Amino acid sequence: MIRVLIFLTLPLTAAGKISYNRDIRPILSENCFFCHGFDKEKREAGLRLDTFQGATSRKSSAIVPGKPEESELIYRIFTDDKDDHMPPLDSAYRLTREQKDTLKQWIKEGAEYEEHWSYQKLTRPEVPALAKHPVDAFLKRTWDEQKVKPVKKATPRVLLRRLSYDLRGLPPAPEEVASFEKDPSPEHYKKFIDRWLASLEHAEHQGLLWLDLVRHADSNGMVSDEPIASAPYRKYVIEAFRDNMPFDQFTREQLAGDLLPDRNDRTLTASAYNRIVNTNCEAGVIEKEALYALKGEHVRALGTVWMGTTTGCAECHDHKYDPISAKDYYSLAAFFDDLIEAGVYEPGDRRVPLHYLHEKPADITREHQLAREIDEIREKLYSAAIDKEKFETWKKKIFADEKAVGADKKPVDWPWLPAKLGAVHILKGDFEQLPQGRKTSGPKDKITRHYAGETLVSKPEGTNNAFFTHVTLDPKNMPEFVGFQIVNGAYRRVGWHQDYHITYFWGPKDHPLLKQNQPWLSSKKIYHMGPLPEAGKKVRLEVPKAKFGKASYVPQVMAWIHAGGTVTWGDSGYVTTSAQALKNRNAGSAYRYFWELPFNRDDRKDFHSLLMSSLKKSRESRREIHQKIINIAFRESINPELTQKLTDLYREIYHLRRDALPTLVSKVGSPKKTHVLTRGNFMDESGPQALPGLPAHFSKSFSGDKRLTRLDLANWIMSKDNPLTARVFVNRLWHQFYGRGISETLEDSGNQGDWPSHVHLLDWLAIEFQQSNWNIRHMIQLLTTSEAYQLSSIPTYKLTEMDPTNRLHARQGRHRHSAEEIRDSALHAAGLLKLTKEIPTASFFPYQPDPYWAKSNKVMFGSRYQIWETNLGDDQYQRSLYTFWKRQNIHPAMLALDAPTRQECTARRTITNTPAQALALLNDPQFVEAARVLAQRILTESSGNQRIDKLFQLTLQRPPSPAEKMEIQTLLEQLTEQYKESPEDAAALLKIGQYPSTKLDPIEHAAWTGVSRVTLNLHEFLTRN
Amino acid sequence: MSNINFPRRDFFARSSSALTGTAFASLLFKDGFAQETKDFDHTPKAKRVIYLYMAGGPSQFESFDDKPKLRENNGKPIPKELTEGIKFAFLQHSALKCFGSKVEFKECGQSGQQISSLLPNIQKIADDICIVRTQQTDQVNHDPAHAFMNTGTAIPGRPSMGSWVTYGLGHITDNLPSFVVMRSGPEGQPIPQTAWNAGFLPGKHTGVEFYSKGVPLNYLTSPDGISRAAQRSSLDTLAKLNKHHHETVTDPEIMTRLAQYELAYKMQSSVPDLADFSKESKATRELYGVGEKPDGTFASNCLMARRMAERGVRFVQLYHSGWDHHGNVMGGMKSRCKDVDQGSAALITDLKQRGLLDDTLVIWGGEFGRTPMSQGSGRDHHTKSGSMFLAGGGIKGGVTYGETDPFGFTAAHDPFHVHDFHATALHLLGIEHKKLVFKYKGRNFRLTDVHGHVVEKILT
Repeated sequence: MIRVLIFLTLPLTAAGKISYNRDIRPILSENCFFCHGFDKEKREAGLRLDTFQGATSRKSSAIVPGKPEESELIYRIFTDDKDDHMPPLDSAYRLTREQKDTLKQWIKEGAEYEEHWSYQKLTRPEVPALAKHPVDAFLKRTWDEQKVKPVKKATPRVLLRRLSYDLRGLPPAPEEVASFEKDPSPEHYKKFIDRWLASLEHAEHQGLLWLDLVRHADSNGMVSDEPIASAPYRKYVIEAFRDNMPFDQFTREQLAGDLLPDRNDRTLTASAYNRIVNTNCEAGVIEKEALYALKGEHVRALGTVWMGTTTGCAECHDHKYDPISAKDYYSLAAFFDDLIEAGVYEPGDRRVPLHYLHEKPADITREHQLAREIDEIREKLYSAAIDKEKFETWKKKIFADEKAVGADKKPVDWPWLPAKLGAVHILKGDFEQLPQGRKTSGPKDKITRHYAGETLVSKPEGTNNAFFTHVTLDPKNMPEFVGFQIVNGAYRRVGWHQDYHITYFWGPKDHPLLKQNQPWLSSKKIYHMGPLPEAGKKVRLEVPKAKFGKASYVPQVMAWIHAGGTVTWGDSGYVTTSAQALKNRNAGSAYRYFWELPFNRDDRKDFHSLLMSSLKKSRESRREIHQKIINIAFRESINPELTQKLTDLYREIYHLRRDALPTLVSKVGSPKKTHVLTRGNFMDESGPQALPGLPAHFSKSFSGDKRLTRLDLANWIMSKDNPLTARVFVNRLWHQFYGRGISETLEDSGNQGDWPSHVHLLDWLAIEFQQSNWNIRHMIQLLTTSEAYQLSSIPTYKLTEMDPTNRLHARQGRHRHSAEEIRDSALHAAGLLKLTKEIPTASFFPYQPDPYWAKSNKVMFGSRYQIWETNLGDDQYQRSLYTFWKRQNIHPAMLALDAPTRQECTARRTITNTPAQALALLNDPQFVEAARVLAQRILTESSGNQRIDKLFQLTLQRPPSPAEKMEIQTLLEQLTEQYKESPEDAAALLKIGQYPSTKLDPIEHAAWTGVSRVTLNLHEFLTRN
Repeated sequence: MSNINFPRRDFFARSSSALTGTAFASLLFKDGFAQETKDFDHTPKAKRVIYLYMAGGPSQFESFDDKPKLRENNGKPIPKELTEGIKFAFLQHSALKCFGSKVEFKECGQSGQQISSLLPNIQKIADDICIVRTQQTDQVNHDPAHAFMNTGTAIPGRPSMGSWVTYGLGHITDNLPSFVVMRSGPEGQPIPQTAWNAGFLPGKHTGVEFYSKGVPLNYLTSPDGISRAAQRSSLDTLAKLNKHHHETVTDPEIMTRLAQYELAYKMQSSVPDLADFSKESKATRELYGVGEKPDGTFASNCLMARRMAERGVRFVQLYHSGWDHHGNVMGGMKSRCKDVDQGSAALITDLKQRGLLDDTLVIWGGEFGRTPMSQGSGRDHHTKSGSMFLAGGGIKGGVTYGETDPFGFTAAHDPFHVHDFHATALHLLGIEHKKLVFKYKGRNFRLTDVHGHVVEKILT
């Protein structure tokens, strides 16, 4: 066995002259560059072997071209001397005899160096005149050289199944297979390609691969792993593939959609690419450290997604293998410094800034208009000059006001939610704004709940404090009960633990609607306050202090509730002291200013007293943030009209956004600073500041006085001078359609990457991609129409021996389907899969084992309360790519089937074969339900002898062989016997899953469920051939 | 049949991309065979690991590091020269004052190791354990510190220690996963599930979580209405159909899949058997303080761990949460120590009685230590000092390693960094930490990154 494997791992080399790129670089890079490479800090003995100059300098004479016997390198690798031997004997590196001989031969031949293949300028290689299709021509040249004979063409069924999965992640319909078997002409084949490329299913499938790559998920990835507003970005990606958006545009919109002159909802949504990073909200996180970690996220992603280059190592030192210096790393990171983003968020934070998507065109226009006006006013208002004299006067007045109310203990109303909505008060739900308040209506069988989200918060002070609201009930449409909820919290954000929702209501003593299980309703904290108030007039509902007792958390939000009827709501808030009311008013400025900015929670915690306490401090002892809060308040005070205007605009925009869809967005703020850190240590910023800049090795042409932007970065990424992007992209596409990359390391095209099996073919495809105006669909058409694509995947004995990893592509690849494809196929066979034209903007929750997401383990104190709410109805059967993707807890069946957690960018999923997969496929209710409904479909749509045929057609798109038929028949009989003996088993099996069972003989249905289940586990069902 | 259990695809993927040096070719062959492996870098002392992971960061000053000087200076500022340039979490902008421990310590056993009175059972096994008082890490917050402790880096998504071990050594048993994780402890802070992910290693090296109560494993139980007999006949038919298919396409992956389904079938009985404590003697159950069924406690998980060790599980990690005592560290430590004291000691005693301790490395510790300074009535996270203990599997018992300065702020000598911990643990398992590598994104990755020294002093 050992012998065989070593033989198999040998690279296939052409006879003749040694090539540096093909033969030598992999050896040197793997074994030598770590200490003798690009990283000048770590270069041992001052020797570098990655350049001709370094290796042949007189000082070292490591390599003397033409003279291996004089070359130190040759002595070192062959010597028996333990101290002299290279690589050092205590390292992990060893050279084989063949490798040593190759090095010797190369030096003998003159030790010629070559630029690494992926960094070479792209030129279009000549297509060998060996076949009609360029792909075939290039492949045939190697086959001829290696004296290899390709296998025969795949059968029409196998080919169509392959094409269907490759393009859509789904099987073809049995009828489609039948028609293609009848007419397997190239024209007919092309029609399938065109039809499927135009389908939304194709865009979804192609989108999924991109989502892996950019590590898209529904959660922030760290600690409590809270939901983030990332679903609109997923929709954007799918739409881009649906519309065959040119790849350069796709790139620009994601990296810099907010910077484009013609930016719009689409490009802003695209720019969420920069925001779907992993973020932390632990209380002790150090802002600066976390910000540097974020820079790493940005640069690593850029490297994997577009450059096929590993950049992460350069955080601490120059890259060991590739020409990326530490300075390059920090210069790339600096491109993202303009983003408004926080190092540390608050638990429950929405990850501002967000953009809001509306459906109605008028609302969209208004949103953009308002947002622009707000930006303009803010710019004017908050940058006004500070006049020293006016400032002193203002300061005096603040203190005087404080003194005046200081002694006043008289309770006053502080309406959180004035009848006329003020700025930074958000109301969720549908209401009609009247001068006297907001009118809401709802059906009797549901609690209508208007969430006054994210209001000013603090505990009410004084001895007579209370919560209150003013309601007017409609006598013609009375509610069953009315009341409000106080939601306690500690971090000033909506979304909180169930137990902190305290409900007060007026009406009958008890109500069934108050017994439902909701994240926003705690059965332990429901208080009946009295009978339903009198209708037709304004009534004050109050909860006195005695009723809300000693809360250790801060009341943060009020929600109005009623069951049925129509209610008009007036001022709502708490009763407090005059002193606190003044503090609240003073805090308004800071809230207004910071509302859409991420902010360090330690400071935000005390906006209410921060202004006063800061003013009392001397200027020198104020922290930066204190001074900022003072300045904001002062500037608002000297410009009341502008402040009022801003407040009005906020009021309007929040009102407008009630039903809008929030999405993460890139937004420019004042740039953060990046320093070239010493060994990545954020506490040592003594290194020079890095400005946005491109890696020196790749870009000579981009320079100038202006600070470069993310748009410049995107433009360079897509420029013809950059040889990486096109190569990296077509290599990934090749992997998708041929089962392995031309260079197998999709994530690394650098020195350490896999040497391409067909470097000219790769270059030809890359040029073709560039010159087609980055037309992805064109490339897919090209890749799927070659004869090589259509080959069988069954290797000949000879091919198995000489090319087990299929570098030569003399046959097609074969591999297990992805997690998503397997579930989708099972549901599809059962007729359950929901295919839609509407791309969802929310993720769905398929069945999941109960303890898996137990809140005890997944929800941290202070984080957004979230439960796994299994979707009902046909929403349960959406395509798998829409599954709620919680980075720390991805769906267990998907995890078992090698779906990535999406914490890091994934260019290539690993494919394994484990017992956990078997358990999931056999026992997960998703698959058992699919088997049950598939059985139902077979029993109702066919009869007698045709049933087994039908089963095979629906799952494998082929008839069973007589032997297979017999096996199925035998199992069917065995199961029938078993279920006859224990009909309760049959009944139990048929209860799995929510999809209704039609009236069938339960014994027969259960037995057929059993054989369907087996079919859904067949290797053939799980495999792309 | 034995050769069928051979994940060929995985094999080829690795042989072409991951393992080029001959030094690792030997590692390659171990994986996938249900047999003990022999090609170690050196003779291993330990065959398996049981890692008792105290999540949240237990305070060393209430457990294993007695500092009289801290008591003497209670409430006074801690010397500035100690704290300068050190990062803190919650104490970022606060005054740094000494906080003496109110816990009594005792010299225990013949070795006289100092152990707090909150851990009376662990006091009794003092001579079996090696206390390390100079645990150091780079990360001062939970999530990155968990990542660092488990994967050797704070960057999310890298392979965990257990994954590296099973990747390097392969598996001993066919009936159970090789890397199992269980949890216990109070609600509150989440323990990141990614702490036992295989990262870029093949997915089968991801730790499998067993629930500490009820059915231990997701999808373990056949669906309602599929009897054991029905499952058997279904799998038989599945195997026959797959073999028919194999005849036409000759795909070795089919035979692997067949074997994996058989494994799954075996696990359906071996895992429930694992959780059946009724087969344990009364004395053993009393030693742990558990009944006939797993009950979700730490002690119950410890007994599961011992049963797994006997059955060939390579790496067991038991997380116990609730050690993050920013306030009331005294009360908190009292409760948590009570949670784990009996189970931890019982596990070591039990392993010893059965002769399993000699080749089982037991680790006890959290992701970081806590500050000698107060944060109100509690202590903040701390990177420079912390305590853990190791036992069995080639570790010298009754030895204390490392000493902190009189204030317990940092190592006075013999720091024990996370990378050193990883290097030492791998060493005990017969693996040279510099040689266990996996090539990914163009680089040879190691559990110890580019760091780590084997701490010889604590080895037998």
